Amino acid sequence: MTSELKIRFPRNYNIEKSYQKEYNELKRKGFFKDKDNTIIFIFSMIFGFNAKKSKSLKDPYPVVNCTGFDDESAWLIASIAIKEKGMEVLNDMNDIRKIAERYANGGFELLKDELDSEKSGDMAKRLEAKILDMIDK
Amino acid sequence: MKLISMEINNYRQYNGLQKIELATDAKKSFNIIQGANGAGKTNFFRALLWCLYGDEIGLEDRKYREENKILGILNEKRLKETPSGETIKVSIKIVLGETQSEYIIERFILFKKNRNGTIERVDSSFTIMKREVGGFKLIDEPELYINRIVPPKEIRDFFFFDGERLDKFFRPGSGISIKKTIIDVSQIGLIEKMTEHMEKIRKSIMREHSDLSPDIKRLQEDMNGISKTLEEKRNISEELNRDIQETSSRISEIEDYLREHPIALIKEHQSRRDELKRQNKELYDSINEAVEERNNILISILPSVFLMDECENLIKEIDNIDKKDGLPPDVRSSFIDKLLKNGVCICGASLKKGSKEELLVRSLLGKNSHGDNSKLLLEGRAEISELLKSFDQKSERLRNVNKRIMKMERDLKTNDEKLSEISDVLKVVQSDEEVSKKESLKNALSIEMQNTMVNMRKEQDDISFLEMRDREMNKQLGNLITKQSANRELSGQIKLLSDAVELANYIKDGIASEARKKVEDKTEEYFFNLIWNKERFDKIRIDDDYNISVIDSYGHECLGSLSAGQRQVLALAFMAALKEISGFDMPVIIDTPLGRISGEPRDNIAKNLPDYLKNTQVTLLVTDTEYTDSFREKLKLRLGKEFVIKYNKSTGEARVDIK
Repeated sequence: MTSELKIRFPRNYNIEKSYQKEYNELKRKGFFKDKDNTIIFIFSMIFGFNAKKSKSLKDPYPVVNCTGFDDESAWLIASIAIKEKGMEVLNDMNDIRKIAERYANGGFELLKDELDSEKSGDMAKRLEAKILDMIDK
Repeated sequence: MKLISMEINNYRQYNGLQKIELATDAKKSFNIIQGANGAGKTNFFRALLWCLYGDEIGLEDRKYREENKILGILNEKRLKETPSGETIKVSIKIVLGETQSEYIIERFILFKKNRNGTIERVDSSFTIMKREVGGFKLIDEPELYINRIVPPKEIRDFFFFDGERLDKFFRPGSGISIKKTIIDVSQIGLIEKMTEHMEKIRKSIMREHSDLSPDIKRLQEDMNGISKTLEEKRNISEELNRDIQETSSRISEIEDYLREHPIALIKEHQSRRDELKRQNKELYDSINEAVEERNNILISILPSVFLMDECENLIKEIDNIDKKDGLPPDVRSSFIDKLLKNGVCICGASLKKGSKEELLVRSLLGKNSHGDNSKLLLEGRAEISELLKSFDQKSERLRNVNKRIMKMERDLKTNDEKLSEISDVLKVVQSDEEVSKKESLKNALSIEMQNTMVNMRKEQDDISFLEMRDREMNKQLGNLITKQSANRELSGQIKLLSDAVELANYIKDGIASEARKKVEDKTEEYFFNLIWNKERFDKIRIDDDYNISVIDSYGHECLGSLSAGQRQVLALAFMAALKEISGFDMPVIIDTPLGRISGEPRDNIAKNLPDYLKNTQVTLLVTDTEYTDSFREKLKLRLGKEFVIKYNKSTGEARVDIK
């Protein structure tokens, strides 16, 4: 059954146009190899949200279609917006999109830094350690 | 089709006209032409190719000809004996057919010996006569017509081949691309050429219309830049690939040397090394798979772990609403809105603005502010609760995958240490200095190859990225031109060409995939017909990337550790499979089929060779040492005719006679 939330979501989610090439670049190798734009978008959003870095888009470019999100991801997007603006935000799906886009925009550079191979170890190992640590707590 | 006869006249060491008539009986379709090294077997082979294709295999390189003192095709003795001013004809005539001659193919060159001793080419000709009702008819444009009878040049190596080359076929670093070979044989090259041609036309149309707008011009400039970089990178990548093949081939030669070394201990070390390398290959593959699995788990678990507080907050908020208003609510907001708008309650009471009834109903609206979102809220609570519940299961999977990866990495490390120990032992072998020298060289070559591979991977990554960009930009350009062009005909042309290219690529991929599968099946069939220790092997695979693997009875890939004899069998099987899918019904001629094989493996191949290409006429050009009594005995049932090439050292002349 199609998710009610996804039915209500606006069709396209934007990123900064200048990031489009870098999204493609990330999908060529490493952690995001052959993955969809939706996954990079969600990761960027989480990195931005955790760092409280929200940035408006100067030149929005639609690269993510809402049907690409799985139901869980759609609700994670909503959970961030609800944390920021309360339950009323569910009545304004455009606002939910805007919040997600701004965090994804703010977090993209952070995500790239994390993926940077110059850092010690690879990103998967670092994230894994962090996750297991958080779950254990 | 069979080779019925061949006439050879004044060609290289064959002085005068000589004719051989080959066996064409379906049951006894093996012909043997035996000759000592240097007697003229290879030139006999070349004569046939010269007649059919007009070139001479292996003699295209002038430097090679000079170094090996190979003069022209004209027989030297005949040249000396011919008085000045007279002409000499060099010709080869081939008769092809099934039960009777169907085609007579002849190529000749007429030379004139001048009085000053120089040789002049005065005439040449290539003719094909075809049997028709009432007799033979001379074919117009024989150079074109020949392609209907014999396989094109690009794939002739699968019908007329050099056995010595076979040994190299499946050796690492042979430089022979299985993909290219299969594509050549299935003649998909024609579709590729068509696609390239259509692409060229499409690009030229788009170039012609680059003045439609500055956007189009800019995009075309970017595309030109990408094309240039792509070409440079492809050249670099090809060069690096050649280096890798060459180095890999040298490493493989050293390993072969160690594998067949007379000292048992050295042989054993190499065999142990083969096994460790095989294990490492499997470990690498399994680690890569596990890493991908780990990344997928991380991708599915990370967002919810990092947003744990937000998830819990969401559930708390929804629970509060549920406690307060109930989910789903008793009355939906939209329903109350409708009542207020209509001004009448469901009980029939008037809901006049400001009335007691209206205020009562309106108060319900405020109470159920989330009423319309009830379905959404229930969905959210269910999704997020499920997500939180799945943490334990996902984190357990993550821990397990991690444990597996760590174990495999430890095994890999242990194997690497063992490999390094073997190398250290081989480097200080006292009894054979050559072994230690070769081992040190092998190590140096391996390091060199690894570095080159890193560089090549980088270049290939860049190439795939640039190719993807090029495709995207092409599409973008097509869209821009279509949008901005008022010319509907132009837009239609671009669309038609784009669709045609896409369709041609789709067809090409389909044919290539089918051909790959057929070659895989046929190679396996022939391999098991020819191989003597069948129980050791399970199957032959050619994967989607055209990598060929030989799977042993334990399910392990063992191509890298095949003996020279087994490799030769694999190559013979592969050749036969390719011949079969090519669709050309032509005889097979193999020059020195067992040239590089000796002893037991030779007998083993010979034992099963009669089962090879059962419905095809096979002619083997063999050396005296190859054609042993036991080999002959094993071929007996399919042996049609035997010939011998006798070479007279003092006159430099060769003659082919029935044995």
